[in-house]
Amino acid sequence: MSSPAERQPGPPDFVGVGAAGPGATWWSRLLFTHPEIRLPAPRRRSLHFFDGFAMTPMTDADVAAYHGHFPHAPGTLCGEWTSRYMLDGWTAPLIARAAPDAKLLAVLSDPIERYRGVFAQRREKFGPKERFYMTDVAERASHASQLARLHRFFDPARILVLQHERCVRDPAGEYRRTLAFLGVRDREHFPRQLSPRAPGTRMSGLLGRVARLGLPGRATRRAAERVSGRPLGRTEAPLWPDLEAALHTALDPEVERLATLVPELDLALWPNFAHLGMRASA
Amino acid sequence: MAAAPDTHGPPDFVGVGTQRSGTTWWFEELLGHPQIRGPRSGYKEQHFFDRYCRRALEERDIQRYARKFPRGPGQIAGEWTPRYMFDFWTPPLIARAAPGAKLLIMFRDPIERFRSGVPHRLSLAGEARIEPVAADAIERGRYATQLRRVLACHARERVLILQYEKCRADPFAEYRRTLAFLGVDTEHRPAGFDTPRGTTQAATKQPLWDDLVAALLATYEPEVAQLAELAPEVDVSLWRNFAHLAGDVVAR
Repeated sequence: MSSPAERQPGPPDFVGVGAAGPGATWWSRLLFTHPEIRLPAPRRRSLHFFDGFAMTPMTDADVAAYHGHFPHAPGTLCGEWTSRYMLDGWTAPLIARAAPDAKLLAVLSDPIERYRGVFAQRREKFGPKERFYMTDVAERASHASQLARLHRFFDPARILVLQHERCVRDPAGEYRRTLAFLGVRDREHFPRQLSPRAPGTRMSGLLGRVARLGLPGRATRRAAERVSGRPLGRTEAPLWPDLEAALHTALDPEVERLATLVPELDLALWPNFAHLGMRASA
Repeated sequence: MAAAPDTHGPPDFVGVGTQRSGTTWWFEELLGHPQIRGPRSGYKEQHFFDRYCRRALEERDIQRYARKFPRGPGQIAGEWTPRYMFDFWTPPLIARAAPGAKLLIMFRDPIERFRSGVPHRLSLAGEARIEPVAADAIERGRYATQLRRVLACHARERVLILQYEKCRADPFAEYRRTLAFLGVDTEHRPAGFDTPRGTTQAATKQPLWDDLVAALLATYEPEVAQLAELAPEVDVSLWRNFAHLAGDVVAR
């Protein structure tokens, strides 16, 4: 183990850039359980370092400050995961300047399922009377445009795009794939949270105990996700035909293009867009 | 003889985009025409469809929308809400609520629009964090993406695409073009195009720096190239930040 004095600050080895949602949160949390992967200092997965540079230029001193978050120790990788970087149109060249050799990661999920989840959250937060918009949620799902923007500044081979639904279906395989992409030596490590439970361990009992703690809603969810090792299904609100049709008009072209940029994307795993996969294979 | 009473009905035209592109100026010039009326409330922007991301549009809503537009014999009526084109759910709802309406869009160099859009949003109360403001301002300039959504449910010949820079350079010709599209007397001469309208952010606009310009170009260049294909009347050479694309677009 290296002493703090031996650790040299420097650019991160990897940056998780997207996408907002429970999938990326879950996956990044699992990634940082690996003994060779270090959290940034202070111990926070998401630094949101580039958020403010939409209004002010990033100086060399800022770049040095960013590097200060990553004290490199021999045999370890440093990185962070801020899910809005991919969305924020000003961030790509800044990452390219501050972390030119970093590998980038993104976990994407079915954009319409994500929309339903956010709609339910906002409806609960604002109630029936208060005004809220959903424009940003559809814009955030323009993953192909966002990825194409990243490609202007990063070699596509340095970007790993994972599919949340595939990570849920085959966590061990996708975890190993992520580790191989990052160049981690120990690829056999498997997060404890994903290990099969000992016989007789009843998940419902554990989750029941979490629920009885009486924590606020978000804290209960977070605790339950830690206990189960998986993101829980979000509450989803039903949509109406006009809106679903408009969402498809907006998002089908993005998903079609995404499938060309990320050939391993399996549209059959996104129920709202499975028809596009069938069309492509036909 | 008493004047014939006003009648009501769905708007004859709806301006759907874009924010910070001179739409207030242009709409007020249109209202100077004796055959063109605005909404009953007097507000250019009705924001009627904003709420229908929260619930479905019903028949009674459509009737309520139609009641907002009085007009006399020989007159047409309309409104101009620049965010309609940005809100993905709105273009098909306009097609339902105002199936005969013609649509107007005013585009402006998207980087100049961004430079004006950020201080505009920051000047409005309630926005404390910069990220959502900047992200919103960038997304609003993705014109081709938005126009494609509009054209998915509105016939191309019923959509007039104007360009702010062209309207500034030759307002009378563009005004006549707008009147002809709307089907009113094109010989009407407005009082003058010199009166400032709307709000200006000229004093608060900041010069941009290299990283931000690179990021904005990465977002907007593909959009501008696609826009030129969807709307060949857009003269890309008038957008100083994208004039370098003009040759490519012509060659394609």
